[in-house]
Amino acid sequence: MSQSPTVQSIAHDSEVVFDNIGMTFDTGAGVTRAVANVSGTIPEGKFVSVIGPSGCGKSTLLDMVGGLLKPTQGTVRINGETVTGPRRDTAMVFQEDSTLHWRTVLDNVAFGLEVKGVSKAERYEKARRMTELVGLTGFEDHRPGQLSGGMKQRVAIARALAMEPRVLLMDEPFGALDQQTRQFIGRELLRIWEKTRNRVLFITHDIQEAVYLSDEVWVMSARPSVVKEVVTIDLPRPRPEGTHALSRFRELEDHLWALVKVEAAKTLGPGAQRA
Amino acid sequence: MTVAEKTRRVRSTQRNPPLPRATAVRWVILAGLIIALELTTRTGLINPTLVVPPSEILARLVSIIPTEQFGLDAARTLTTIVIAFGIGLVLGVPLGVFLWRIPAAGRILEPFIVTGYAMPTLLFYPVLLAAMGLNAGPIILIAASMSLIPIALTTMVALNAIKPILHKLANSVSASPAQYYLKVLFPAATPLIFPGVKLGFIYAVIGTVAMEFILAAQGIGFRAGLYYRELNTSDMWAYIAVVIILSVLVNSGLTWLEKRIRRDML
Amino acid sequence: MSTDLTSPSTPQITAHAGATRSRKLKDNLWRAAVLVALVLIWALLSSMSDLIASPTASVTALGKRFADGSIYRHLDATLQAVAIGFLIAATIGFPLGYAIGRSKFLGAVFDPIVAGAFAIPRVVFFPILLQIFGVGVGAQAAMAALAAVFPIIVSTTAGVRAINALLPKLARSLSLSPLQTVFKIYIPAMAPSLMVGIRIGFSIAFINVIIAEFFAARAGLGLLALRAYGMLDLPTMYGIIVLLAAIALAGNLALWAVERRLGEKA
Repeated sequence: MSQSPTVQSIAHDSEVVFDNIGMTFDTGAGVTRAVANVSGTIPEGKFVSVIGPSGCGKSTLLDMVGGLLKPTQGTVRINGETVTGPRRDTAMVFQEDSTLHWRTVLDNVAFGLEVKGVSKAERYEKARRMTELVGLTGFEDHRPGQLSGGMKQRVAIARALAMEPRVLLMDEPFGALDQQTRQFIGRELLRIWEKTRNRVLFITHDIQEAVYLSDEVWVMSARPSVVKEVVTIDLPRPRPEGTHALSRFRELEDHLWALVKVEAAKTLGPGAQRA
Repeated sequence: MTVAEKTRRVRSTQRNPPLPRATAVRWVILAGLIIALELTTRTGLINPTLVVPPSEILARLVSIIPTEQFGLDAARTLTTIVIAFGIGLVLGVPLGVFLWRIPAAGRILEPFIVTGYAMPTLLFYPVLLAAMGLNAGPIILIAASMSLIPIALTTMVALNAIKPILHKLANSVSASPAQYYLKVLFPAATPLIFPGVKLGFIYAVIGTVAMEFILAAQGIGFRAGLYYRELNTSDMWAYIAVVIILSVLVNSGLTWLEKRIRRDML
Repeated sequence: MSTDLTSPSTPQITAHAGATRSRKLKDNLWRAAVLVALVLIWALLSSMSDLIASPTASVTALGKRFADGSIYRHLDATLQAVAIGFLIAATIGFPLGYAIGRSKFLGAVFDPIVAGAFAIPRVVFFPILLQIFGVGVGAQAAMAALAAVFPIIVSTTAGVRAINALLPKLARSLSLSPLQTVFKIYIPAMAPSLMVGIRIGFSIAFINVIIAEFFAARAGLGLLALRAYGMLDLPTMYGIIVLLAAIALAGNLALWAVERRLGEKA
């Protein structure tokens, strides 16, 4: 098991740093060690994806950055400060539909800013820009009930982007979408990201998606999970339509698949503990 | 984007189209019942001391409604209902929130609250009369206690039914407690709480009229009971008609409101 | 959903059987504590007001009524009226609710009528029932039936409509006869909401019998309570309230337990 790159030393102000974090759940039915000794840095302006077998604690990792969960060991630091709870410089996009069904698209996009206390004029101005950015112009006054699943996720992405987060946390945001929508909205995300260049932590179990979107892919091991390997995706940006067909793309995909397969086998194999 | 167009079209066809024929049939049935009642009472098939012909009820209504007494009765009944419902709402919603917030309390107290549905609280009416006098107070208390229970129970159920992701979302944007309740929880739960609120209002109406009917000094229910005791069948029926009309109006108003809320918030 | 621990912040862990059992025991102990607290509050209130008899005096007075046998006539009258009224309401309400729920057209015709009737305080019709059945158990039972039939229709209708749309398909694919479809598919699938109808029907029948007995009766616990109050025999009156609360609690808890069990299975 290779150790992830050294971190502490290079941590400067605007970094997002995992410092040897771990997570243990006491479920009443027994103690589960979900995450063990994860260290790493999300570099400025980089898109980092996390892949790994089901139940390996990918989402747990993300929730810890978002301040929804407190690690039982180690710290997450953003901008030099230890994360102790939800912060206003992080924003999350979830797998499930998290739109507020009683609000219009524009009011949904503005929700995060509204909670932050941003003035009405400013938040609507921003919300309008973000709505346009995610390609929902003309749908500002629609309600989520009138939108498809893919469009609802765009609303969620726009809401998160509007908050101009230091790090954007995405928890399998396309996991509930059908394959076609998923590929389409993945390209859209890349187009948007090229413009904003936010720091992104992206959880997925789709290896192709991870390669296509990311600058770095972290492969997590089976439980108790650690970062098994950090794979740098050296594909040039911007990444047009044909990127999937590049031989380097396939190489990276095969390499990641091989890594994940070993871990998945551990999870699924005989005697393996399943959540 | 055609996806939305498509989804919208799908939704509008899925929504039950209004059945104009059904509405017509419904009115024919109701009109038929009234005509049948008219004929049977006029021909003496139904004893006119028992049921008065609808046309006569209408005539009595026309002469009763402009009187000052009717105005006072109606005002008393309506204020009693509104106050009782107001108390039910103001106590019921926080109680529901409490039962949701502290699941153990909800679990432990639920059988007591469920039993509250079957508890004839009107048994306390005589004592309350003695304590508070023959005014609207005792009626308000009993009607409020009837109205509170469905409101509290549905509030608890509705809050429990909120998708966990919304809690997570509110948490992730670090919403303050006030923002959490006002901007996320209550809007999300309103369409589900409303049926309970509606039931609470209907129970306030039922409780108020029933108590007035048994014993009171004023009110529409009181008048109906009084005319029964005075064997004034036609005026009794006129007031029963008022009660029916009032209830149906209240129910239609609430149903309309419910549809609007569902449309806007679901 | 993947098997990730996506929301450990809201843990919904299925504890093993042992833990569930000990939690149930704890809950019941707490419920007993709540009951004791209620009695203590009652005792406290009785020491402060002449209008409230103490718990011991009330229970003793009730015991005396049982010992000299004078209560049985009234207990019989009330329970008979509730039972007969509820049976009539169930016999009419379940099939009618089923029909309205199954057919879109009947639903469109009758939904507003049933909802409107549900909102009417049905006690105002009691004088007419008195004239038809005379003062006695018959009028009380008719009152209970009239009151309970609409909630039973409403919950049965809701239950039919909530049936998984695949079940009728399943029945057709197995070419079940209509009777088999009803008894093997619909009734088991609807069991939880049928139980809700039964419980609410029982509760409303019970309350309305007491209200009707307050208004006019020859025998019944409501009448007995009112008489005791009239003779300023407060201990007996509160004793009867305790008895009625116990009946409401026992009936509701039994039905509620069945409902929960069915709900868990469904």
